[in-house]
Parts: sequence; structure tokens; C-alpha cells
Amino acid sequence: MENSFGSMNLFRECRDLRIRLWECPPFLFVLLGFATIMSLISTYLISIRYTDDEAVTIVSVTAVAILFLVIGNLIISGFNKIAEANRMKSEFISIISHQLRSPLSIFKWTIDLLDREAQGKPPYQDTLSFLHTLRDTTENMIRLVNSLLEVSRIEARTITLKREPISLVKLTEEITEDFKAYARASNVLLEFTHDPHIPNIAGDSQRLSMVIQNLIDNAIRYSKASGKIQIGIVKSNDGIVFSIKDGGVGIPQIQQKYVFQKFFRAENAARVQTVGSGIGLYTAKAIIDALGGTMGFQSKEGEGSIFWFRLPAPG
Amino acid sequence: MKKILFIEDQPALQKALGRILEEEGYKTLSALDGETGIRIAQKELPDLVLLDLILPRKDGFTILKELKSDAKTKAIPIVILTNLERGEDVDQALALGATTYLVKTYYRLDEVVKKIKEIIG
Repeated sequence: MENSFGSMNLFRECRDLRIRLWECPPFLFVLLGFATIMSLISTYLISIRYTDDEAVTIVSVTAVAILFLVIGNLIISGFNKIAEANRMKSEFISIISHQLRSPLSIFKWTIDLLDREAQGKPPYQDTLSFLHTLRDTTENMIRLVNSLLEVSRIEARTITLKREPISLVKLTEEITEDFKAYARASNVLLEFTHDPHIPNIAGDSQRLSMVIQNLIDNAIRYSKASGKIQIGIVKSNDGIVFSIKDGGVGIPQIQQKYVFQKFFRAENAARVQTVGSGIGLYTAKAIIDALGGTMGFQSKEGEGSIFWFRLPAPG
Repeated sequence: MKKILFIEDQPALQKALGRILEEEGYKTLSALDGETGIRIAQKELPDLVLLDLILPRKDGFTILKELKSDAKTKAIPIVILTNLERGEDVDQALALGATTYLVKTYYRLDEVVKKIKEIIG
């Protein structure tokens, strides 16, 4: 009985979600349906009243039908966009929550271990190393949260980039230096070469740092052991090009079109990681785009990848 | 002395869990990715494997499948130790032959040890 009276069901669904009748999609579609039928019938009746020509009647009724079809489709695609945006928001939240669990587990277990008295055992000699772990994990978590905030700012389009003169060479040198220890630990060699007399570019040094750090981090992370990573900055006729080449696992051909999407991580890499959450390339590309540049890559599975970005040189 | 292999890509967790397991009298073997874990398992034949699901290159489910289909390692009990907690992940892991499934953030270190003792003593 309930199912045959469809309209009763429609109203109840909206009532449960506390949506007003005039905003309730099922109700609106029923209304649209009636309006379509009424319009078609009226058009037909008016046509046969005012003209003997069948063709005119057919055309006018068809035109009205098409008009309603178009309106209906616009409404549906509007709703789909809203549904998709909501779905992505929920997915975003669930991915973030999950990623925050990784550093939290490290906190939890490291602190469990440090809290020896609770277990009635004597304290450790090397508590300092555990404290260092906690400190590093805190920094990682802060970086993670910062990059998540960046993503949401980019989404909301409230990102404002500074435009100050920056030496890309100097910035890259500093960052490469910072990464030396991590590279050594991963048994990977970092090499940086650049053309002489590279002019300054107009950019945001903090954001550009994030881009370069992300590219170098990815290159190291996906390199095979005892590989080499070549970073280069060259002048080109319309700007300055930064490139980073690794001989790592590469990105499978079929996944290459997803590389710059939010949270993308190739099949041949970990699904979700603590640092380097897959937001990196999405944010990086958005930053480069916002600075008036372009970013791209070439990759062959099993052989490695080259990531590059080009920034316009001022005047 | 019983041997436990811990396959987990985060060194800090290896350090914490490794330390407490050693104190409890187990010999700990560690692997930072699945393939290394399989190699070690085949060579050392541990009494228990602790397996994370999110690993670089091959993921935990693939490693679980491989361990359970290799004649040398298939009898070794495997405890999943992960932060994934979707129903389908738990079902899949248990269906593939995992002995039990623990979500890291819900277990203190000593509680993990207790679970391990329940399985291998």
C-alpha cells in the first residue's frame, strides 16, 4: 500500500530530512511533470484551435516538450553537482581523519613505552631518542595539517600568493641541502645543476618551497635504492624551467592522467602515507598555475619520472 | 625464544613495538615493506607475523595472500595491525586467512602484547 501511493513516500522523505516542500527534489519533479503535461496539452489545444496545419501543432508541442526536457536536465545536473561536491567533501574528511591516525599511533605507542612507571618498570636510559621521535612526528603532523589547509584554501579560492623577487637557484640549493640526510638514509644521491645567470622570478618563497620539497620528497620516496636524482634549473625562451629526474618506480601509463588530482597515489606506491599525503602534487600544480606558470611530467613505469615546472621570468 | 616478524613501514612504530616485544622475551624481526617481509618470513620462519595493511609498493592484502599461499609460510599466524577499520577491510583480511585484526589506535602497547601472548604464548 505504501509503495503504490508514491507521493506519500516522497513527502515523508523530505519531512525526515527537514527539507521544505518547495525545495524537495522529488516533489519538484512531480510538479515539473504535471507542468510539462499541462503545457503539452495546452499547446496542442491552442494549436488545433488556431491553425488547421498539423505540422504547426506537431512542431509547437514538440518545442514545448523539448523546452521542458532541457529545463529538467539542467535541474538534474545541478543536483548532481551538489551531490558530487558533498561526496567529495565526505571523502576528503574521511581521508584526512585516516591520515591523522598514523602520527597519532606513533604518539600513542611511544608515550605508552615512555610511561614505564604505569607498568611498574624502571624508566629507560634512552628516553631522549623517544622524545625526538615525538618531536619529529609532531612536525610531520603540523606539515600534514598545513597542506590540508592549503588544499581547502585552494578549493575555496582564497589563496593569496606573494609576488616578491626570488632566486630559484638559491631556494633549491637550500632545500636540497635540507634533504641530504634523508637522501643518504634512503641510499639515493641528490645532484643539482643550473645554468649560469638565472634571473630572479616573481613568486611566493614559502609556497615555492613547498612545491620543491614535495617534488624532491616524491623523487626520493619512489626511487629505487642507490639511485640518482638530478635536479636542474635552466633558462628557456619564455621563462625558467625547474626539472627533477629520478630513476625510480615510475608511474603506470594508465594512471598518468590522474597524477595532479587531489589524493592521487599511484598503484605501485603506498595507498596512503603519513608525510607526503598525495595532496602534494595537486597543491603544487595549483601554486605553479597561480604564479602564472605550467607544470608537467613524463614517466615510464620501471624507469623513472621527470617532473618539471616553468615559471615566467619577469619583464 | 619465539620470533615475531613486524611488517610496518613507519620506523617509529617499529621502534616502539620492537622494544616492548624484546622486553617480553621475543626475538623481533622487522621489515619496512611487504616484499622484504616475505623474504624474511621465508628465511626465518617466525612464530608470528604482525602485518600493516598500508605499505609501500605491494599492499598488505597482497602480502597476506602471498604469505598464506607459500608452503613455507602458510602455517604462520598473521595478526593485522593497521589503522584501516572499514568493515570490508576486516572481512577481506580475515577471509584471506589473518588470525586477528587489530586497529592500532584502539590498542595500547601492552594490550597488543597481551593479544600476541594469547596466540603464541
